[in-house]
Amino acid sequence: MSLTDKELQEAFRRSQQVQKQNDIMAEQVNSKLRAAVLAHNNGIAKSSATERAFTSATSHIRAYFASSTLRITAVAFSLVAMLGVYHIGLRHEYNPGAAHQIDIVHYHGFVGEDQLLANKTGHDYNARFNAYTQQYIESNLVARAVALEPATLKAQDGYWLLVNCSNQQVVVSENLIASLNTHGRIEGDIDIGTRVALAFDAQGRILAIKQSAKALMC
Amino acid sequence: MSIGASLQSLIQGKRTTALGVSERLMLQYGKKGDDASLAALFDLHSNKLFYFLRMLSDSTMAEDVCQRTWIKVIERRHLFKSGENFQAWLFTIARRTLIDECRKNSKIEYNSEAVEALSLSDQLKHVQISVENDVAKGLEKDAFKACMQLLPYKQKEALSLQFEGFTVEQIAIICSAEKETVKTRIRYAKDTLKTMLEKL
Repeated sequence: MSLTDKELQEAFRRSQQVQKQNDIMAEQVNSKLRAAVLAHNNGIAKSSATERAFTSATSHIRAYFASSTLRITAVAFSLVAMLGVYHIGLRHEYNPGAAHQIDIVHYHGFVGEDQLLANKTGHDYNARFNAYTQQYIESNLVARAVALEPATLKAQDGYWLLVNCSNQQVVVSENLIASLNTHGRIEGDIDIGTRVALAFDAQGRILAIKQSAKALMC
Repeated sequence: MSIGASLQSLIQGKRTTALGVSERLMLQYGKKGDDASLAALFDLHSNKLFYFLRMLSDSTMAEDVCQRTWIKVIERRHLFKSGENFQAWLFTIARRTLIDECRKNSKIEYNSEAVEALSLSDQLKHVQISVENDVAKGLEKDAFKACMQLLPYKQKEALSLQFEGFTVEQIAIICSAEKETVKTRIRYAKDTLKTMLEKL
């Protein structure tokens, strides 16, 4: 018997519920997002309050300096002050030594390797773990990439450490590298500093790592 | 009070009562910019929005786009007009943000043709592997999600929106497509989905 539209709709709702149960991180992500959104809202409210205060202060000053002599003096003083602020701003902007801050690390490895990888790389960032099974790697059916991401290989110590365009770290376990290699999913002569293209499936798992012939756009 | 004024207040009163909870919250938020209204809107819609985005991308991108969407809601709050549907407005922003994000990163190549080229038995094997993978990770089976993810992108998008309760007219506006095109996408998506689910 054919499924009805209503049954499909119910299946969709059930799937949403399963997703909620399955995704232990979802609640955490949701509350983190909520806090960030509300903080942004507060920031905007504060800045508009400052704007209002600034506007009212300006109008008071304007009324006070009604005479033309005082007005010219005030304009001259403002210009000097603005130039000073501009120079300070320039000095602050130019900072060639500023280090890139990495706040998210994506771990890719077989089921159960997450702790091992985290210990090995020794980072205390916001970590996301993508788990693989041997069966998944061996399957040709799933080898359909939906996303390509440029990255650069930064370190090799059994595992691979790559940094992507969003300045996020991608750590691939030694076992996963070996497995991908066995199945011909690592292409090119990849060494530290080599720019590569990471091919991901719809679930964000790495399907292949290829050396980029041309520089991929970030 | 004149008859005209009474009629007008009656109509306005009706319009106010016809507004949904989300719309009233959004109008209030538009005026005051208060945390309470925004938090209530977030709690009402964030899960659905995240699920929709996740169906069309991956978890990381869904999270990023979700955050950007809410920031756009904050920044464009004055643009929301009485009479608009809040959820449709929110999902339109989210969809455009997702597309922009994909283009900006030159990241997603939606390979609909490749999926369409798969035979039914290949699709079913794909679903089976995906489900077994979830089970191996200790997660609950979700064959429906695995089937949905095999649908071509535009069909998946239209069907997800319909499942979220949007009308064909609203989906056409959200997806910037003709009504007939949306209907066709939904019909194809449902047919494929039903076939896959029945054969599993």
